Amino acid sequence: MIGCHDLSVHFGPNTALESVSATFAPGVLSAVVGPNGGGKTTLLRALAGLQKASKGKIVCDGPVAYLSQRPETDHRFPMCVEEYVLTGTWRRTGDARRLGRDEFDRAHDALFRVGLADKRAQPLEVLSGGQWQRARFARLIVEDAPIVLLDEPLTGIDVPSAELLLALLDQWRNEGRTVVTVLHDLPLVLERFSHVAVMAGRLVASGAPTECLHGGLPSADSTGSGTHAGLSGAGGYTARAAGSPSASSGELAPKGAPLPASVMTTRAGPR
Amino acid sequence: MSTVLDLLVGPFSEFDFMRHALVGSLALSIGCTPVGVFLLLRRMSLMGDSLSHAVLPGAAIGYLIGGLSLPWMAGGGMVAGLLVALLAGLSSRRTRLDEGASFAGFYLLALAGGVVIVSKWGNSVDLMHLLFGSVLAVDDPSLILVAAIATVTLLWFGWHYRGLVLDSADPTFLGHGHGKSVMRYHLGFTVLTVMNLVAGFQAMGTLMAVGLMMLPAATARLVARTLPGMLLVAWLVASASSVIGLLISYYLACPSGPAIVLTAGIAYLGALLATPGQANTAKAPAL
Repeated sequence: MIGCHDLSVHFGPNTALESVSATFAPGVLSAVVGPNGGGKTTLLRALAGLQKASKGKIVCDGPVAYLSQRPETDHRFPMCVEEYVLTGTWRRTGDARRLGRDEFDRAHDALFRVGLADKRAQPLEVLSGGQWQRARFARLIVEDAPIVLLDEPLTGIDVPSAELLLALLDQWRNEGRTVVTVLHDLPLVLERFSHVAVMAGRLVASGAPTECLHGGLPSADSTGSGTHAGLSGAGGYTARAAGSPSASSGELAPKGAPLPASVMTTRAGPR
Repeated sequence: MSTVLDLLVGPFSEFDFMRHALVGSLALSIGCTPVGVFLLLRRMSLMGDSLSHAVLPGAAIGYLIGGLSLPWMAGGGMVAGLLVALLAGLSSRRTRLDEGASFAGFYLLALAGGVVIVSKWGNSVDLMHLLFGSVLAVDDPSLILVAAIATVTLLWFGWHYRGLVLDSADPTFLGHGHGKSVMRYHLGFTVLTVMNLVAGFQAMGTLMAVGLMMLPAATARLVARTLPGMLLVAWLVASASSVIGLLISYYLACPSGPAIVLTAGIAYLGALLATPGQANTAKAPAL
């Protein structure tokens, strides 16, 4: 379980998150959706302990693994792929404890699973963007944390990589871990996730995706247009967000105007 | 053959001060090189330079109070270096200046202040001594100080190696999770950097102390593929530069600090020429 209570984050005079209270349960795939600038990444960073809260508190009952939106590792650091994946053991080994045979086995299995077994001894700088993402998935496997936070993990990866991650997510859910994923692919959220938090500077809605992203949206009420329902309205959440007082409506699509299909289907993988 | 051996060993067997300088610079090579390698990998190569200049006013004030006394000069240098690191760190966190600009501001202030202090209340010989060091200054207490700092450095690196690697390669990964402070790696490393610069400035001078840190590290980055390999190559280059530099300084009667740094610089140029166009190599395994 991980959650926050009355969480606010300010960057100078700007408010990124305002009074967010949310709980993500174990054994459930939870998604966080919302428009750009809606505070999704800030929420995840705060949950991961990387962002100091201006107000409120974070509650969690176990170690947290966090996959940032972009790889923040120095890819020119003299380190090979296997060593990189082994850094996932840090929480268990720290500075001094010896890496056991089981840790190496775990790293090898993870590399095999993500299809990078042949790159094991290569330096980090040979990895392409998609391979990097796979290496990061492998490190997540090695981290073996009960709480996993993922920030747009499907961006910029090919179909097999996306399938690999989705299979991992299912496995983690079945193992009873807490999985929270920031996503822009709303059809995917509807299909595979059972909890969603809709963010737009504050928590706009949370609950079952079908309620929050489909008929439950008061989009027609708030915009008065009634020309769209659920997903067709700027990705489903924006109509609701635009109706909220704290959302910045400037970057949203015109209310009621359906977006091109390309905006909606950001995921390369199959449904 | 024996003539060559005499030329190489003679100065050290004959003169006590040369033996002191040799032991001092070899001990310095042990402590300085891991610091230099990690400064380079953390992309803070010029921070070492800034900090070495920042040591000057503290050492100068110590020198004016206690003369050529080790506790005063080393203590003063240590305080000044840490103060500049602290102020620059604070200003890069609290203002929109990045770390480079903050360090530039404070080290220039410290350097100018140090030169004014020495030239106002000391003399130009003192200034040259502080800036470029002197092998004659390496007495027994200095040796003990240098050896102690090298020992502390090695122990700290041994204990914090993994965390420091993570803090250098992937600070976000190290920072996530709750309740663990990761500032200790950055802070500990900064303190070690200042300590090693203070250890170096007696023999090398404040301007040259950073040379034995960064040049072997840069050479090692060009030559070695792995981090342990880099640490080994850097140490070998620094040690060899120390011996060769001291001999050059003896035979050509020039200051020891610049001679050692020049030798390390030649190794660096050699590595540059020997490894052309390898920016995107990495075909060979890194293990």
